[in-house]
Amino acid sequence: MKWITPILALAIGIAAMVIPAAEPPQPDPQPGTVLPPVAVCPTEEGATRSGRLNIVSTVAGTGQITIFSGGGSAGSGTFDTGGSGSASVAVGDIAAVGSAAALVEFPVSASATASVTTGTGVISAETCSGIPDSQVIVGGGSTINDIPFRLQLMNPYSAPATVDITAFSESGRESNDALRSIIVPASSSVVVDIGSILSGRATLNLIVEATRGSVVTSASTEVGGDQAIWRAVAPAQTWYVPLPVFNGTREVVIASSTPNEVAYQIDVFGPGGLEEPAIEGTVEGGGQETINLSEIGPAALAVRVVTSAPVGVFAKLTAEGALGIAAGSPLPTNDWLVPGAGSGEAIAGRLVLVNTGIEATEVTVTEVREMSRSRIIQVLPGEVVEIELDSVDSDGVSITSDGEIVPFWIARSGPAVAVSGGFPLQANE
Amino acid sequence: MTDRMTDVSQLSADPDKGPVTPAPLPAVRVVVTPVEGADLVAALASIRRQAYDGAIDVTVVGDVATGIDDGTSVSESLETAVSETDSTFDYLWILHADARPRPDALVSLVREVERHDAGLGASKLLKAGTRDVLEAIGSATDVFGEPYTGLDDQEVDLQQYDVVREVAYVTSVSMLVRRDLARGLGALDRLMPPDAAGLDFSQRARIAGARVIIVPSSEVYHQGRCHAAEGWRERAGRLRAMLIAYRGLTLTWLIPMSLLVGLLDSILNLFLLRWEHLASYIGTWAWNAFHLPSTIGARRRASSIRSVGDEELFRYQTSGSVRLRTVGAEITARVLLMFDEDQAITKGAKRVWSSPGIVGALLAVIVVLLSARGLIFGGIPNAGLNFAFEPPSVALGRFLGGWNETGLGSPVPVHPSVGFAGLASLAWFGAEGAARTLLTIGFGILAVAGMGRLLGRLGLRGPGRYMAGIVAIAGPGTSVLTGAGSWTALAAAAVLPWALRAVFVHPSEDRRGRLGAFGWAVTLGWLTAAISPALVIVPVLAWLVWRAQGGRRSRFVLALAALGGGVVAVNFLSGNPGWLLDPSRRIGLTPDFIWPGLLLLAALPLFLDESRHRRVAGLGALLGLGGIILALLGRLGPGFEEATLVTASVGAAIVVGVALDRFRLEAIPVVSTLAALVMLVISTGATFGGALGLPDGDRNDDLSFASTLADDGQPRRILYASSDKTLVPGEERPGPGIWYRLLDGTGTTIDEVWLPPERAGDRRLSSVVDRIATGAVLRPGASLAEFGIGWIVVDGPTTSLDSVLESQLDVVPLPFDTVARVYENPAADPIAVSDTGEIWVRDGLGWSGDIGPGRVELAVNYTSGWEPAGGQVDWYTTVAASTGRASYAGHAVNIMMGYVSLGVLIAGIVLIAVGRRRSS
Repeated sequence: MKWITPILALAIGIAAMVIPAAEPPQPDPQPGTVLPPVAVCPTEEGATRSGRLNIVSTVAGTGQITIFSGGGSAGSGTFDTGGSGSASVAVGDIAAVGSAAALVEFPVSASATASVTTGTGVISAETCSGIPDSQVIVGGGSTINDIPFRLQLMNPYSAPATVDITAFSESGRESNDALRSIIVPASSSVVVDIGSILSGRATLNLIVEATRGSVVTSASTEVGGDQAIWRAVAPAQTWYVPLPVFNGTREVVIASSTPNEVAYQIDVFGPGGLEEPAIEGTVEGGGQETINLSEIGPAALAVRVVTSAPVGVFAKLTAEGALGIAAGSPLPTNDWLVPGAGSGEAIAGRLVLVNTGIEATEVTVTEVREMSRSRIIQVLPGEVVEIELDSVDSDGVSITSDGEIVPFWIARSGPAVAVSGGFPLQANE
Repeated sequence: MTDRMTDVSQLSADPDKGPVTPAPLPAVRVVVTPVEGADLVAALASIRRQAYDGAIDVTVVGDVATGIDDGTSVSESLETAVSETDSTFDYLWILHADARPRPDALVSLVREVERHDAGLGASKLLKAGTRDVLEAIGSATDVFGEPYTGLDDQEVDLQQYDVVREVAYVTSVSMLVRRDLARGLGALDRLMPPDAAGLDFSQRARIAGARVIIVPSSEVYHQGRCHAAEGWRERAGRLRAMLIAYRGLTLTWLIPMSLLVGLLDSILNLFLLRWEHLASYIGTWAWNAFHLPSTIGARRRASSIRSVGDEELFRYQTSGSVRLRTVGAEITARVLLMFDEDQAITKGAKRVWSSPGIVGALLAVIVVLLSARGLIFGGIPNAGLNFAFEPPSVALGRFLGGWNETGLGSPVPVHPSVGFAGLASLAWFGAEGAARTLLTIGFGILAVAGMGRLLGRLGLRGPGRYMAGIVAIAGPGTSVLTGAGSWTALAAAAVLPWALRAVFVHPSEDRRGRLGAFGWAVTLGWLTAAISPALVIVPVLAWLVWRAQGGRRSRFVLALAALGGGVVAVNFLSGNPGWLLDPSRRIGLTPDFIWPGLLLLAALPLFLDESRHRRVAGLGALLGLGGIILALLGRLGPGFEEATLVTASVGAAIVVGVALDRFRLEAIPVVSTLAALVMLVISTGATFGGALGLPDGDRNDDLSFASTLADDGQPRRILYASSDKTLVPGEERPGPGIWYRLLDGTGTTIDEVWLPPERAGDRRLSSVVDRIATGAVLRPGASLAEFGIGWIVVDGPTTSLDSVLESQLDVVPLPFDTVARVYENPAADPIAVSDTGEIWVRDGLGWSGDIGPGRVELAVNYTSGWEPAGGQVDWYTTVAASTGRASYAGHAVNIMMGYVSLGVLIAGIVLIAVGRRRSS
């Protein structure tokens, strides 16, 4: 008995030194992110311009639109997507408050909205953002020759946000205190006039980072009387940009969000599929590269941009009295909503589709309105097709296919042009 | 004996004039007052033996039929005897029938009374049956009439008091009073027992201008048959004596003071397990209230003969209160005895520094007090698992089956520490804050004393046994627990050594005091289980380990008695078994990796020691290492985890105590001692932060915005979330990538530390939190409103919940905390609201509001028992507003078990008191 206790103590002691401690309790796994049924759009309502919010949803239901600008609601109204699953609301019917922002609450997440502004010689359109990203990038801007270039920081939430903007131009990184710690109060929209802060820059690449709270960022510029509005995007390494037939310059802008040099490869898709050879190059750290695709041919085409580091990619169409800029799509998918897409009085709308897969796909394009019309199109692998939309008012287009595609929408109103991407359904559901 | 006595019969009336023929002695009438059980014949015989040359007449008071000789008259009462005494007598000698005066007692009395021109003189009383043990030599009193003799118990008469002197009062056992004075005073008060009657008579004599003296040369042996125990009648008589003697002005302050002093004395005696003082206090005042008319009459009579003021009474009074001084000295002695088994302090300061334990105890207490400096000056922190006490009535109500308000509420009883806290607050006159502070600091000192006494009982005598107390409160397990804010761990580390000690029997107490030992085991088991329920098994384990090592003097029945104290936790454990068994609810704490090695290093050399210390080291090593390994394995719930960690510390402390005690300048013992010293230093470091190892900060203070910003005065609940488990106050539930729980907006209290099992409302809240965390909810405030959640606090590292809350529409961020993110939910519903929109307010364990015909919605989990007309809507409760009050009637079994556990505690205390009385 004398030695049992020491032996036992020794055994327990050694075990205590050797046996690893039990893992401490852990909380439940983090849930996947679910897109809230909401979108935030820039709006404009004035004497010469009026805005509409075109809503396309997969269900019939009611939603709410709240216009906010300076720390509260300027007005709100409801909408009903009805049997077509779509609705169109004039911003002026809710609140005519000039440059503002709208919070659109959908009946379900599988919904999208676009903000379309029209006026004399002006048309601009952009699919509105859902989830705000903490860091986004805006490329394609310029302030040379006093070109107006503005950023709109929209915060529909109850928490104020603080934003830092890092700007790169052809001169390198810009330093300006006006771009640091910009407070965007709750339920507010703050417009930052980049043109007055950084004037005379031929190219501007802006990285917008919310250090506190959340904001949705969009950019706008005007050239030759036309206006372009496009949304900032979270940097990614793969982008798709379909480009319609256009009587002007078609460019792709690659905007770097990293301080290091970024290599890129551009694959071009045309009516005959993937064209060779690919275009390769590099973007300087924080800089942007503009690739003019006009020389490739007049037909509709699409590009796939693959980079060595996250970037933002934008399509830019310019012509005399015409300017259209839109963010590319980082993901191809089967089903899309393209709110705002359509023709109507004084607007001619066309849809560009590219089949990014390796098999032919059957695409069903439905123009959503009271009397919706669907058509089925066969798209070969790598093929880019352009469809003319009906000359009646539609709220947008719903696209389903059995393969991965990327859509793009172009609207012409006189010389003015507007381009916009779509809202991928499967990726966000 | 005779050689040291003064033969006053040989003294002249005037010593300056030299020896002359003695003057004729005065005539004395001896009045023998009856005493039950006293031998009257013997008393009369002792009177007949008096060497008194003057005239003596003997009268016996009462209904006496036998034993009276012809020369003895009988009088109906003392009053009659006094009134019938005519002027042929100069003095009355009032003598108890149980008094046996020495032959020269009367002559001495007469001579000295005459010489000092006194009105009243009394004999020196010696205890009958002894040769020379003093009983009384006249007394002083305090202002409240409490006697102060100055005599030690069993003090021997060495003529040290043999001086004739004036005193405050004399007893009525043997007193000589001038006839005229006796007739004026009206004899003894028949309502009073002997001592009080003597006091009353003496005081009346003094205010009449007579001198009251003690005559030590007059010796009387007193059988003490007239002395009842110090009972309420004596105290009542003393109070009556004061009411009769003092002037009105004096009584205006004396009566309130006497009330207060008596109350304080009663309460302090309760701490010494003496309830009789409280009963005596009540009886004293009730008796005097009943006899107030006769007291007023006696006052009137005393006023008629008054010739001096109260200053005369104050002359021989001691300052302060004798009763408070006595009970204070006893409490001090008891407290000192905790550290001073050798009674070095109580026996004499010279031995203090030679006492082996006292230096260690002093050092350890100094370290503990320094470690508690933050608590002393800054109060007890509210953080981690340590929160404020509730008012005692609320706490005890919860303990006795009342509503558990934690989270969304539950009928499952609260942790038994709530009951313990309630009792402690009650004992501290309802001041729960003061009780908490004193308890917390006291735990540190109790741990030191407990370890010293435990190891002392196991045979150790060195200073290290007290220093080991520091390891108990800050050793391998308790340091991580208290670091996480576990107040109960500190308490458990203080109580467990005492509970272990209760299992072991001191050799001198082996055969006596069994009842007391049983009572101590039950009481300490109760306390241990109330603080940390699973810990109550440790005394049984200790008995087992001790026996397995061949040790004696441990008693299985005592270990079982301690286990029986665990009844206090039955309610809690049966309702919340996951607290003990569910490993997913663990706190997730483990001792530092260095401890097992240090423990082995300290313990192994001790196994080579003599058997007594080897066994103690074995007990400590197995408890310490066993606790550590079980904590590391983490197989059961937080209750088990807490118990293993505390056991690890107490086991380590035992090893440290032995290692320090066995220090020798030899290679192997030195290794053991060095390892013990390292453990001691580590523990001291762990506890030296200023709060006995408890974390700083006051979460209730940090979250006070919830109550200060409650516009309607009814704070909403707080949803507290963090990805860091330790940052969430109290126990928490797992959520999506976070830990979360609900806190009371009025401030978290001790009852909310542990969460009850989930109910319907908790499950609903869980699903709401899950959905909010996905980002799919644009208005989380609206989703949380039904739970009465007015605030969301996200603490610690940034989580997905942060980004969700930055992108929502209806909860407002507020800059109320420098680290945590605070959001207000303006849409939160009140916790209790009537269907007319009237907000009901919290009232004890329920809610109250305006009476109405409708119903009141309570955002608490539904269960049967809510009154009046409790009903369920979805997950929550509704009641009728008909009575203006919503209350919960607990389950009968829970209520019964609560009372049973209190009964067990009381039984344990009664056993201790009875055992103590028997032993003494």
